[in-house]
Amino acid sequence: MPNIIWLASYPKSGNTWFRTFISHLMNEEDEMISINTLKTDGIFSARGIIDTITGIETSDLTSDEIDRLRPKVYNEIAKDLNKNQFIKVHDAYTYLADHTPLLGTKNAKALYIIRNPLDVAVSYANHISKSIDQSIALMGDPQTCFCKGDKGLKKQLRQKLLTWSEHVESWRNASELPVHFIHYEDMKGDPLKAFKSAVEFIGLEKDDYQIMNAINRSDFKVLKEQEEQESFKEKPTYAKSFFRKGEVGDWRNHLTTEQVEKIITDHKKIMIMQGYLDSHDQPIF
Amino acid sequence: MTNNKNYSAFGIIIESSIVLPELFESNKNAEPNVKISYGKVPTKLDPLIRTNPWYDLGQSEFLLRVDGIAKYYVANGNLIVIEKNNQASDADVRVFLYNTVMGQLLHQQGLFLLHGSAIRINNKAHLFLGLSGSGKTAIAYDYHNRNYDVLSDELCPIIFDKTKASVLPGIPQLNVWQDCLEKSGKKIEAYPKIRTGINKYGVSVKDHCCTNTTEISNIILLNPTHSEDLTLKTLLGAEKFKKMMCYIYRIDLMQENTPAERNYLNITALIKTSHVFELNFNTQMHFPSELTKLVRKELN
Repeated sequence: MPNIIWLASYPKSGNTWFRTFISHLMNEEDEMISINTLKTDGIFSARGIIDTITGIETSDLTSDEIDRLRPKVYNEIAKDLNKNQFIKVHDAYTYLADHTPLLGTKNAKALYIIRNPLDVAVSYANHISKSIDQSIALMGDPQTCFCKGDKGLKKQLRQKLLTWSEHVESWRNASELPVHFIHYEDMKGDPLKAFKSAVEFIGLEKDDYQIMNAINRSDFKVLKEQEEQESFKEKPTYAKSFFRKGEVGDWRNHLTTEQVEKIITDHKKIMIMQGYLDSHDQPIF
Repeated sequence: MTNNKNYSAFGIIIESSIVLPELFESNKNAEPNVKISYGKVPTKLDPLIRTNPWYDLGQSEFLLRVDGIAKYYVANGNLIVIEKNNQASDADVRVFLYNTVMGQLLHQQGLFLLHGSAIRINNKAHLFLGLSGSGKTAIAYDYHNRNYDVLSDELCPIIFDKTKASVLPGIPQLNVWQDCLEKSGKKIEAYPKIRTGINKYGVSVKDHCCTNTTEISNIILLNPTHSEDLTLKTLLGAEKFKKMMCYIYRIDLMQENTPAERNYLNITALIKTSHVFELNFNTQMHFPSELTKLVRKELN
């Protein structure tokens, strides 16, 4: 039976990379797919789909009113699927006041991509055009949201990110749907194994050749080249680029000792749990 | 003796027991085309074309459920009954009445609706069509500040005769976001919020609106992009037709009981008599005043 497959992650953790992989994996044509025409199915925070399904203008609703609609809309969509829907989500896994999950959980599975917060901090700073210190502060602030401003209409709906640690924990503790974690560092280090585990979790029947082919076509260098040639519609206006380096451990070239200490202090428990710190609290990657 | 009042909008006379301060009052003795009142609404429609938790769509009936606000029943293009939630204010109720609900009413009347705002320029209408968040209202507000007459916002009902397409005047109010007011140097305290909890303000344009049906000369499709360029491009042929189809008001709600050919014919009729342009801009970089400056330079 087809499902909604939530492609979940904290921002700048490999979500677009994985969406590109899925687009190639599911593509029946032998062709390169542009980053601007990915074959996945949008983002959970999209405004238009809620307006369309409900007949109600979300621009006339408060963020809390919209949040109450979101799980109902996606559960409604999930009632009648004729193929898997791959939907990106950056929201933390949170609950409404009546303890309903914010996410649609009917006929749904989630793939959670996690990345070393030291690398996230650098990439996130580039993405939001702020300093690394500001990026680190946002990653440690439980109030952090995307599209929070209420003075004007944001293209996307409010997304509560919480802290980086809380984001990871919220998805780890999600009990209303199956969640499979994959690490960005494994996607880089042993791509076939990491991507194959995701493919099997989703329930797709693909062989190693097909998976490797999709991995090769969504290689970071390819994505970066495409962005340089045709730009990327998801790039924030003031960011230099969407695809920066994508390397594991690049934080060593950018973070000061104080910044590393701050991230480790803020997220030590989850970093240890997720294999990002060794027994001496030293970064592994 | 009733407290009902007559109002006019979209070329119709509305008799309402609910006060509708955003609209023009009209002659008390005029025969109304539409009646609006509070009352009980059906729990569900039968027969149904489509249903989901938020609406039931019938052949000539529509039932919209806005949680915490009201249920709206629209029938036969001449009746709207509203069952208000106890917690909701009249202002809350009117916000949803003026878009989807009014849209369904006009659709039931057989009108062709586009999603956009309309401004009178040199006695002709310019339509600015766009999806939610594309800046339709902000553009209309900028024109309003330059003393142009506003014809409509959000809903543009179109009528056709043999030689031209025209837009009907809508509700003489723009619902403007706080940031847009502030960028225009206005104090938000001067305007009422359309709803508690939403920083969108009702700017009445009764003093500067057009209440006559107005022939359409130019149609500008608002296309926010990620590029840094601000351009106004003339659309031609199939591209013009294809892109125009995206701006039919709530086509997902209308198409079930409208033959597809009718939409094709209406769009064809519209683009035959109007020039169609695409305004490409970046919402992060280009203010409404820059957009209207370019349009005024190229098209006035």
